[in-house]
Amino acid sequence: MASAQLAAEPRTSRSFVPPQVREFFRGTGIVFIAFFGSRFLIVGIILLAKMIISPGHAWIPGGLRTMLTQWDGMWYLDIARHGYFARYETRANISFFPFYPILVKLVSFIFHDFRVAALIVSNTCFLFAAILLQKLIKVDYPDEKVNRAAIMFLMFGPASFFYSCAYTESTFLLLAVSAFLAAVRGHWLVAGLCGMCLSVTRNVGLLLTLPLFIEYVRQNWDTKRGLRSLIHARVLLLGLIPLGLGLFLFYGYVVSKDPIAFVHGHGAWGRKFVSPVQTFQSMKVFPPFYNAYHLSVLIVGLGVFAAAFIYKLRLSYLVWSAMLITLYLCSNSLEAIPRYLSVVFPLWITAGLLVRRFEWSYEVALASSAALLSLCTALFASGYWIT
Amino acid sequence: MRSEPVSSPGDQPLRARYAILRGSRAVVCSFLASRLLIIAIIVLSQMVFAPGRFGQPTGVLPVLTNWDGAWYLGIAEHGYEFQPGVESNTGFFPLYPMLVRGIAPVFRNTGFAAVVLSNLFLLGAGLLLNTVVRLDFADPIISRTAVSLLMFSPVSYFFSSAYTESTFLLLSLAAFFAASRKQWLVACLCGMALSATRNVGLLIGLPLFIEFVRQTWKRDAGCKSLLTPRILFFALIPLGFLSFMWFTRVAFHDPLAYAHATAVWGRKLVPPWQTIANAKSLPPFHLWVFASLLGAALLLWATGIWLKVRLSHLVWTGLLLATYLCSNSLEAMPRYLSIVFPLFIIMAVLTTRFPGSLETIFAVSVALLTICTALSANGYWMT
Repeated sequence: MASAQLAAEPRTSRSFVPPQVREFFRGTGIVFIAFFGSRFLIVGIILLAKMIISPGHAWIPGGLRTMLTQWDGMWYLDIARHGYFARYETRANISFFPFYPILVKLVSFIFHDFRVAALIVSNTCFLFAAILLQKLIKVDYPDEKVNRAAIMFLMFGPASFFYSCAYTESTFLLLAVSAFLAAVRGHWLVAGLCGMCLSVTRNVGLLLTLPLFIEYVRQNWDTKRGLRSLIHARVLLLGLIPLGLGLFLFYGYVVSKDPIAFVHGHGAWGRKFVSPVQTFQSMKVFPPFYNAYHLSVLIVGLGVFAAAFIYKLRLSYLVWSAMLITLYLCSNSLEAIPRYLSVVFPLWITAGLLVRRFEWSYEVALASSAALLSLCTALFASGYWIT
Repeated sequence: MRSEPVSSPGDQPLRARYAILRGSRAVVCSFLASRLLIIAIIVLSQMVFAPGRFGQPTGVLPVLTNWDGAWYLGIAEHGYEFQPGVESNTGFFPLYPMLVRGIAPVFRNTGFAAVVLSNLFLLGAGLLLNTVVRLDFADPIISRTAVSLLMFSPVSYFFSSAYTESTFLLLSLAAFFAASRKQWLVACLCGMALSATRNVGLLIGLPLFIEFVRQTWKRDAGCKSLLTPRILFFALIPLGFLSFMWFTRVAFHDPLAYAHATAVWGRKLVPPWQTIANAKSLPPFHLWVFASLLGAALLLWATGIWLKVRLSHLVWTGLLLATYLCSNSLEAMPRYLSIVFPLFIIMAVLTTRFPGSLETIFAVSVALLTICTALSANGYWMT
């Protein structure tokens, strides 16, 4: 034993990397391979597609940076550059939440280019989201194959190119996964702070309060003491989550004398709270390809969500997924549903569990996912409407 | 890396008899999944893509029977025609259209018959590849991976099209499989059929001979150990090619009618540097895809030497790659490479060495398949 310690000592003293950092990155090799593999693939598809596919109606000239910062990305960059404005007669950038543009603004001080800063923020957030998701999965499922499949589905998911665009998907995913991981490990201050940032990244971030409270109850509930077992100063930390949204509402009030300016802004895009029936009826306005694409992704997503109950995922994960999916189904449009579903991380975990149970399906599922990813990336790069 | 053969036909006749069916469920699953995916891509992409220069075909069957497919169907329906100096169907070898013509009456639609035939051959090729890989690598993951990479390869929709790819693949695998079981008559008959499917089929004589030497060579007897009556079967291999030459001589008074017809498309034997220099004339997309796939194939071949893959497989790969490099054009390179089955074996072995690389390689392959299928389905030049 002593000789082993002596042998290990010089190696430790030579390492400049702190042990905590080494511990954090241990076993993440597959995440790095999949991350760089999938990102190079996306870049490759964008460059190849631009060379050959006839441009769509929304085609804009430009290279890779332009492609990855189009559509909603332009709004976020606009906020990062010029701040908010609220004019309801036209589409207003107040509909887009501030956390991501704030990060872009901060990183732009280093790179002096808002588009590069946005892409760095998105990709860094995505890489860390994947690493933390891997750690979160290990808490409940130590099986390496489940973990690996879930990460692969995340990386090669049909809308995974959005994680590398100037969109909030990767930031949202990172914050949600971090909040859950911190909660599961009992770090409630970190969980509350991540939740606060999440509710300033997107309005649906507010919903995190309930699943985190469920996680809190699961950890602190004592049958003998009843409700009193939940009364602890830590529970107040969950109040940080709505505080984030509250701050943005206050800002909206200061800028435009309208605390729910972002809700009014959403109206310009046709987003409002309606019944799921009405959301499905709104499909009529889309061309057949988009209906086929949105519906098939939604059906698969709902199927995987149903399987999550069979596999008895943590209650907090189920509630988080249910709330997000319900909200999307009540948002008056199935537009962007693949992108919205891409941040519902329990779906990736369930997909990993499913292909572990039915091993033959891994190849089929991964192939379908990669095919949709490449088709959508090619269309996105060629000026077709993919949002 | 190489392991002993899983079973020897002599020792376990029943198991060997059904060797081709071992692991067949995974092969059938890969086959069905990849074909359904290709159909879905064709249908979905036709809903959204703006048509390319060559007009958007409607439906799945026209996509699977255009370009060279139309030439093969023309031969199956009307036979050969040759006119020196203009595009003629004598550039296309006869076995595949003969088979299509043979089964066309069953389906009453030559195009549909051709697609059915191609798909059946692909399924057979998948089963044979699975078996051939197991001869050298006992790990079933390697054989399963090789089959998956074949089924989802970048232009695998050609295997389901009215093209000779699946026929060629099936015959070459059958020849190697028969050779490994010392069934030299079957192996050489497959070689004969192969040389009547495409001109490069003739090249299989050398790798089969290497396999023959490997099995028959005895150090103490020297060259004499090779002089058995079975060696005469090798004379069958060029017969397929020569029969076609004889046919064109009789019908068109030109035994080299196939070479003169392909010359119209710019195909001729040139040094590799000229083929690479000619690549400049390709559009950027095609240049990038063709050149990068050729580069990847050459790299894989070199890796195969390092991994000590079966010598006959390496020689077969080397001969095909050398021929493609000397064909004056990189056009259709992905399709030509798709039939070089040892490349899929090498890739499968590599993925077992580097964990996490399988999904990435697989996803890249599926992504290219998606783009190429979508382009082909919407009137873009993909050949």
